[in-house]
Amino acid sequence: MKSWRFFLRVALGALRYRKQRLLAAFAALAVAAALATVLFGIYGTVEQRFRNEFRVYGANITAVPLRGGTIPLRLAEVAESLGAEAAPFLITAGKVGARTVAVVGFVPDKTASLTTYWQVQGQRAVASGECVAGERLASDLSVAVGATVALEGAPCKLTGIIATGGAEDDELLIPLADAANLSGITQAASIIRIRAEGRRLEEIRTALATQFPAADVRTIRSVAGTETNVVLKIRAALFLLTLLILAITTLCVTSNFTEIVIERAKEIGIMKALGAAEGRLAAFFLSESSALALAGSLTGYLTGALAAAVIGRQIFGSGFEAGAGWVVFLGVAAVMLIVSSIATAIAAARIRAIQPAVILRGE
Amino acid sequence: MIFRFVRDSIRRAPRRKALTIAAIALGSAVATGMLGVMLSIGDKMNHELRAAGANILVTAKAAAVTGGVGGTTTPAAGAASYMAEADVPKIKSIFWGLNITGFAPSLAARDGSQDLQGVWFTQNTGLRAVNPTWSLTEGKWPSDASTTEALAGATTARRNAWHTGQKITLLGEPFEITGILATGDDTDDRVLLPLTRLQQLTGHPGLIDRIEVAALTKPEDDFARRDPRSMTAVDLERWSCTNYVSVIAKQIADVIPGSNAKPIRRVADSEGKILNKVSGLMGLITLAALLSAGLTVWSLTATTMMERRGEVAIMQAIGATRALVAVLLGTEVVLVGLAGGAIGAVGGVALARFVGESVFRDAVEISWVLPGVIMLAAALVSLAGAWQPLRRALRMDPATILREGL
Repeated sequence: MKSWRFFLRVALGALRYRKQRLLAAFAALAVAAALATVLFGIYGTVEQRFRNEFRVYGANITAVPLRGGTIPLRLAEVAESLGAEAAPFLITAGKVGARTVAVVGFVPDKTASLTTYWQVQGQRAVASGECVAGERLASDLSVAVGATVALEGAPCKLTGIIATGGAEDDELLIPLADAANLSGITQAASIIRIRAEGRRLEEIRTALATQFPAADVRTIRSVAGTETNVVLKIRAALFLLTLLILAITTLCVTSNFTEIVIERAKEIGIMKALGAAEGRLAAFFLSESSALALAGSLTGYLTGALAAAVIGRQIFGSGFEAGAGWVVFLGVAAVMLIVSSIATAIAAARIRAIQPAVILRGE
Repeated sequence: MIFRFVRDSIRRAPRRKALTIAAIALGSAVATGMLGVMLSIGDKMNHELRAAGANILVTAKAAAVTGGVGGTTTPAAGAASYMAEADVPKIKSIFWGLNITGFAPSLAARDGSQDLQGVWFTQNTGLRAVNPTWSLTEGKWPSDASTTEALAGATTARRNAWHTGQKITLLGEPFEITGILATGDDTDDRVLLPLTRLQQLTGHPGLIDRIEVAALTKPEDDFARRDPRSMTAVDLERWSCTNYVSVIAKQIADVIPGSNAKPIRRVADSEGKILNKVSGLMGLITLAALLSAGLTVWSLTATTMMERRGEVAIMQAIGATRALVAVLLGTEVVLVGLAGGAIGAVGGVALARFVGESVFRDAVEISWVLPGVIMLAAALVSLAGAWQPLRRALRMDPATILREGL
């Protein structure tokens, strides 16, 4: 009981008379905690985050017929039920005037997320009776957005012109149902492009391959391989750099706490002369630094979480959620407590060496 | 006098000085290492992302693009035209030639319903340089000089139940499958032959219809997307001297007669987006590192200076002016900062190398400017940290400090 009152008096007294020193230690702790929060928050989610970024490369699995010209449309449904995105395409040929053009049936809203790289003039969404043309085809046919393309059997209104640098530049894209009518092939696709989450890619590919033996379901190596490689490298780099930053931060906090104890050599001398036990003095400093560490962690965590959210949104766009939940806070607080305790313990070893008489004489 | 003062100060308390220098060195090492890694990571990532395949496609002006969705071949109106294989090496002669990491010329043909493609199989250029992720599931790569070797795409091999060593007939000539290639894209539906052999068999000697080019590019920004025709002379020069994918494509089209070069948007745009994210992330981490390194050095020098109030008081008591004390101590702080910074910069360069080696298996190039900048920064931050306590000590009455015995 008495010791508590004593503790409070000394601690509050320290707050009053040593504001600046405590503030410096508190600031160092808070900054360290904020940095740790940002780093833990980012490191914990960086793999997922970058795997999502690789969606811009589009599909990482394609399914094509092994025999015959088409594969069942059901494959796309099964892929979706497995948690992947799937866009079916039906390829057929059509005539515009005397010219034979490649006509591709597609499902606009399923294709959109897999082909964010299309450069579209006009709009890419088409309804029945509308179509989108590749830029080379459009210039060959000399049609502009809004014109009617005289596709034999299914004339359509051109809603957009796309430039991709790929085969689409020479194709006429129409809704899948229109292509099915035109070719007389229903419930089937010539190719299904699938985007599976990077970590489940092989699992989904195998499941589809087993269920549809008539289709060749293949991993697009260039996309999948690059994704894995780059994501793992980013994670490794981040891991090393995070360790480095935490090390330097620890050093900063440690030197601050050591100073707190050493600076008060005189007070310690007085307390010792008055009969304070070394153990109790150490315990006192330890609880003071722990209280400081907790306060610093909380402040740092709050600012760090805020900073992570703001900066994360700058880098990764609006869908970003800082991965800084309770786990991160506990981690940060634990690290800070351990660091401050170790720093105080090192300094406390010096308490033992303090000779009250020497200190008080002023040497 | 200043020199003697600093020398004596170091001699009197070598351990404390060593500790200060070590801490400053540690901070500088972290800063140097982080900056070194950050400044080179874009470059490294660019190389890694080249594994995603070609980002520029060169076709003959009148020919149709093949491959992509469905892999259909649609001959354009009139006969397809070709480019000369002999012109291909000119790609390396463009302004950004050093940024071209690979180019793969090819010629497409058909035998009945089977798509064929003549390619370069050589290890260092051609197909394999452009698509480093491609690997054979069995067998070995054909040789370019061979007239009987062929490589089957995985889907083709499955369709026909072909295996390595299988004897097949293509375009009326006997071939042997030396290996099976799995890529996941429409190359899997083809049979690949040595380019020269296919040119012979199809009667197109020395001709190609497509070149896939892999180039290291700068992510396109708004400036890159402007129409070069509407630019001022200065802007146009800046545009052509930047390695945007569209600039490189245009330069390639200019050196290869009868060609049309276009960025492959799927690869070119995507890598730009990823690269921007990587550099954003690295910038953030570097900022955090610089902040914590700076803070460490700052608080350390501040503490050290606070402890030396006694010295300040004694110097003032025996008649030194404030300016003289400030210059003496300031010089010492700067020298200690420079020393710590120098040691740290050397350590930091090693640190950056270590991160580069362990993450990218490749050395990180560090500009010689960086260590200099870091040394300077270490000295400035030390001085800034020492400033406030020094000023306070100078303002205080020496007698008070001395009586307190601090």
